[in-house]
Amino acid sequence: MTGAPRLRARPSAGSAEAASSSSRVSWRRWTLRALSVLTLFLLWNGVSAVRLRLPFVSFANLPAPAEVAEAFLALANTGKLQSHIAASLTRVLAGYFLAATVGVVVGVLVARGRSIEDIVMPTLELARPIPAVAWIPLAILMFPSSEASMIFITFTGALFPILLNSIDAVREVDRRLIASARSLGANETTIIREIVIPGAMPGVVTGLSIGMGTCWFCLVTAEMISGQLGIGYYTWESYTLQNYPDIVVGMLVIGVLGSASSAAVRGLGAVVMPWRRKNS
Amino acid sequence: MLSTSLNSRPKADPRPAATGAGVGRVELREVTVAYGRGAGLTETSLVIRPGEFLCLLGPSGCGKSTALNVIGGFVAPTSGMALVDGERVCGPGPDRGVVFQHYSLFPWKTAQDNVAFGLRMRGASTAEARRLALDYLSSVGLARFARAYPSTLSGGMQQRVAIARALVTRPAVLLMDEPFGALDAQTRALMQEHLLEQWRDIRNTVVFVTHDLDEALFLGDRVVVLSAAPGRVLLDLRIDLPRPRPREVHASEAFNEAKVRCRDLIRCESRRAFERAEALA
Repeated sequence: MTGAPRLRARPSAGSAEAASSSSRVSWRRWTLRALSVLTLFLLWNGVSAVRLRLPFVSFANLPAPAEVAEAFLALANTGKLQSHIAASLTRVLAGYFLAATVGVVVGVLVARGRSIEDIVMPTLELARPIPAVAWIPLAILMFPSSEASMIFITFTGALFPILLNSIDAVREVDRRLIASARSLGANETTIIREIVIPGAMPGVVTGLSIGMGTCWFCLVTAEMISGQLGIGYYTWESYTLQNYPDIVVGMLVIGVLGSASSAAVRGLGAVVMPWRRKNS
Repeated sequence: MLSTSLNSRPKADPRPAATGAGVGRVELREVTVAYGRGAGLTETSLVIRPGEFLCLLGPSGCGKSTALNVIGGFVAPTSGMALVDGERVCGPGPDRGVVFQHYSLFPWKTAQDNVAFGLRMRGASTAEARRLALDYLSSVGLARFARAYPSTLSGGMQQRVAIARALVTRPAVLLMDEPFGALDAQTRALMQEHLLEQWRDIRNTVVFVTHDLDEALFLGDRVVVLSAAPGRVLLDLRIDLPRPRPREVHASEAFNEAKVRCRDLIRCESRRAFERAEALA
């Protein structure tokens, strides 16, 4: 929960004036955000145009935005972009939903039972620092299809943030709320359903949103295994073929899809948690 | 909300008349609660009569909240026991409504659904509970906040809803742990009158913990002062001020007499507690 509740305006007190000033603020903020992305592109364009060389970093071989845009259009025109994206989305979503299910369920169990924690957590803590790339050989050995091994790798990427955030979220449900529910006659089932789950929801959604990001993060690693399709595979293949503009296309597509899907998770979180909306 | 249980449950009366028939007798029998340092209780015994409004008063760290938590079933005594209507307290239960200092409304439920919660736990269908909750909120002047989530309400409003949530099921005992402690003085005065108004209809047993002497004397039938750690009953004072009590009672002779007596005792106790803490440091 976010701090102690403060005295706030009553629901009827929200006037038109306040609403218009808040829309002005959000306008300003959106302009700043757009400017930030634009600045990045301008800087990128600048350093690649003058082939800037510094003692510690060189932009001499960095593809220019125009080259990247060209490569992007070429890829989109052949229709391959769509099939790469479709293949990657399937893998990411499959790994993600597995990780979300396992992470939230195990997280709730671990947070509620000390012996479950002792059984499950040491193993998971050992597995946690292992990077996705280190899993590749074992994933290939363990799973008969390369599709399954790729899903497994995206799964490992998403699991830990979801699991750890869920554990914390359940543990940090306000004990006073549980005490209040109990003194109103609630039994354990009701307490889990009506107090623990909604109480843990903000933390769980944070974990789910971070997990979505880390899932995309592992995509290139996962698709090193792939033989033909996937935006991570495309990025990796472009690297081996030294097609630098294509690498950047792959990077940007992953960046956009990753942040869009994290935002979608947060958006869904806001829908299921109407009490957290600022102007309700 | 779920409304499938509309016709599935037997029509249990969700608002049993818990009060009036001499129920709500609370007893602490030689209760000791050992904590690391301070805030515990030492063989404290206390009997609270049905329908009595008892204020527990004392310096901070005297164990007044601990006593309330033992009655509430949130803290198990090291030795001794708490009894409510002759039954030993083993945990929280719907016969004892609770209002905490910090707002403990469920943030994900509207005011109406918060108030409906206890009714549903007593077997009312969701629809029935929500209707009764709205009726109750209307009766205490909160109808227009029924659909508001707690975070959009002021501190005083949240506590009003919390009191409504605790009282709507007419529990035999109402436990209040410094419920107005976080409110400003004006709101606090309003809330005290609001509480007495609601209580007048129910007349159940109330245990009200406060460190504010004026508040205790204004609200209570009886004021019990606990000593600084180890907590023991130091003073047990009957407040024979007429009810309903207007604000002006604060200016009366009887009020001031009681106030002076309590204040001297508490001051003396606070000094002792302070000196003991100094000696330990």
